Amino acid sequence: MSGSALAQGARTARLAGSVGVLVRIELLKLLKRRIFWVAVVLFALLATMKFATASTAAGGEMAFLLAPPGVWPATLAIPATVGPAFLGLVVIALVAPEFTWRTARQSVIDGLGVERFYAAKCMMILALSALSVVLALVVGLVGAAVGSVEWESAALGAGDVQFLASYTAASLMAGAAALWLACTFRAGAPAMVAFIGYAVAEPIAAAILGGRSELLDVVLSYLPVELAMTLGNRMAHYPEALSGLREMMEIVGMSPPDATAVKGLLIAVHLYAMVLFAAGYATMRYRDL
Amino acid sequence: MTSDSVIETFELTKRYGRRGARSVLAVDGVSLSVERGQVFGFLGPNGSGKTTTIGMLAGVVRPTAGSFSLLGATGPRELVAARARVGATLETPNFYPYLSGRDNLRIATAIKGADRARVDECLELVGLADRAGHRFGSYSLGMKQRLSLAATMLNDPELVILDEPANGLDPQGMREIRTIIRDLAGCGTTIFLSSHLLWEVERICSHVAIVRKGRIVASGPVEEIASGDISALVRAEDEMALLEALAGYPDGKGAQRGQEGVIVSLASDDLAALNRYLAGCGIHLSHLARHRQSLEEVFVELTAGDSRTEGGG
Ligand SMILES: Nc1ncnc2c1ncn2[C@@H]1O[C@H](COP(=O)(O)OP(=O)(O)O)[C@@H](O)[C@H]1O
Ligand SMILES: [Mg+2]
Repeated sequence: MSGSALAQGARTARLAGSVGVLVRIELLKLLKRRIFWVAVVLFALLATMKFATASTAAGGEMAFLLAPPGVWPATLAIPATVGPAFLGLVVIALVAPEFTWRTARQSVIDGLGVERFYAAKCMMILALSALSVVLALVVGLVGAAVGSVEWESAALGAGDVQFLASYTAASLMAGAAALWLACTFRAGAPAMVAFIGYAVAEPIAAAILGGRSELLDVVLSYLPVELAMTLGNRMAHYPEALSGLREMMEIVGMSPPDATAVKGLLIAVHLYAMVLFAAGYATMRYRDL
Repeated sequence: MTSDSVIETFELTKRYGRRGARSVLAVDGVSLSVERGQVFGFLGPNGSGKTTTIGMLAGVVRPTAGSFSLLGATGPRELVAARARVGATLETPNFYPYLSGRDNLRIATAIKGADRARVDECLELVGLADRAGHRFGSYSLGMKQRLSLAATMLNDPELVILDEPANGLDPQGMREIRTIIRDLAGCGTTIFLSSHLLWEVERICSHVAIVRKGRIVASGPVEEIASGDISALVRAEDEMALLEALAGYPDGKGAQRGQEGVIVSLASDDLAALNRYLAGCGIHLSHLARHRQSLEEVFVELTAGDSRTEGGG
């Protein structure tokens, strides 16, 4: 091995050790946090609930219209619509107290540094997003095992993968927004009020402003909450299976999400997430703790 | 910079808020140096900028101007690494209330890269071993303070920085904390300790800096600060005549009537010369002694009026 390869290896090992420490610290804090386990149970229940109702509805006459085939669309239906907001609130509940308890401050004093403190929080958000996907998948598999669903339908199709990816990305964006708010307000209640307030205000503002010009409508469709709602909608991911429903919606004057725009929306969601992560970091970096 | 300085600050300054009526100049050009092995008392009334100064050393307050080094480190990355080798507290004990004392120390151990076995040793040292498994939130103030002392010792630090470690404790609690600090100092650890209560530190410090409204007004070894000017305490039957005579003493720098007699500030500590001079003036002293100003007198003198003007500046 050459010298530079050795140095590279040492750097990688150091980085891995450093990441290992962050993981250990965050796990120690997380696994004993009651609110974390409450959130996990609540989330699993949410996912199960929809699966239960969907599998009974699937027996009805309108089933072919209302539900795309398979386990996943049913399992993901609720997580994908409320999951990102739910994750955001959990992130605020987990992170904001670090400021009120002044444990963020103490971590920096102890030599963690602002950078690694923040990196640990970003990693936690990634892990929580992944966990919410895993939870949804597990619920889906269990549902398939105990329910009347045939096993073949448990295989992931292209639509399922896209649905999962969209859901994960939207969760990441919500988590990043929550982290930024938690680091800015440094207290749970105001951060949650701001988070929920925005989630409510944006669609209202979009409804008021919408329909005036085509350009403005495009811009509005790229606002974060709008993006998350579109990406969480099954109709964006199973256009063929739900074509009947789409037609019905169009007849009554509603506009189903545009399935062809999903790639662009996914890029936008990732951009939002990156900007929000950066904003949170800047807040941490340039303000006294 | 001396190689054995563990803390060195140069014109360190912090202004909270932007320039203007509402901004606060909390620390104003503080330069100090703490050498290895010292027990350094950072004394000043409430609001004089002690916490802010320590906050800058600890990396949670961004200096407005000036610089400092910590264990020789000056760059941002170096400083983060240096802080892992220091044990420091700031203002209040800051821990996760839902975790046990032991788990809280485990987190600090992981951050500092210290040996995990140290957790129980340090808990033992501060007398918390039997409550280590209880939630931090259920601890009394004294236990919280002791846990934060334990946290500073996890990595056998070269330097321990304590911000008002006995604040709010009863005399018994203060005594316990003082004992722990003294033991720590006995092992050769350099200690930087802030307090607004002089008697809390005067018996354990080797060096002090007295800070007032963000500025250092005196610093040095305790004996030097405490002795201050050379002065003598004199008593005679006719105090008026004594004062008159002292006013004409060539080596005198002023005389003042005190509770126990007259205190003369002197240019030299030749008390025999003073006695001869006064005898020549026909004044016979009933008492003549070197007067040592206690640290407390210096402290009160240097920070006089602060408790009244506090918050008004
Ligand atoms: N975060 C802050 N924002 C604005 N002013 C502050 C802040 N922290 C401290 N101060 C002010 O700075 C001055 C010094 O405070 P501090 O460093 O806490 O003093 P000490 O620790 O000696 O009591 C005080 O006037 C205080 O009100
Ligand atoms: Mg203070």
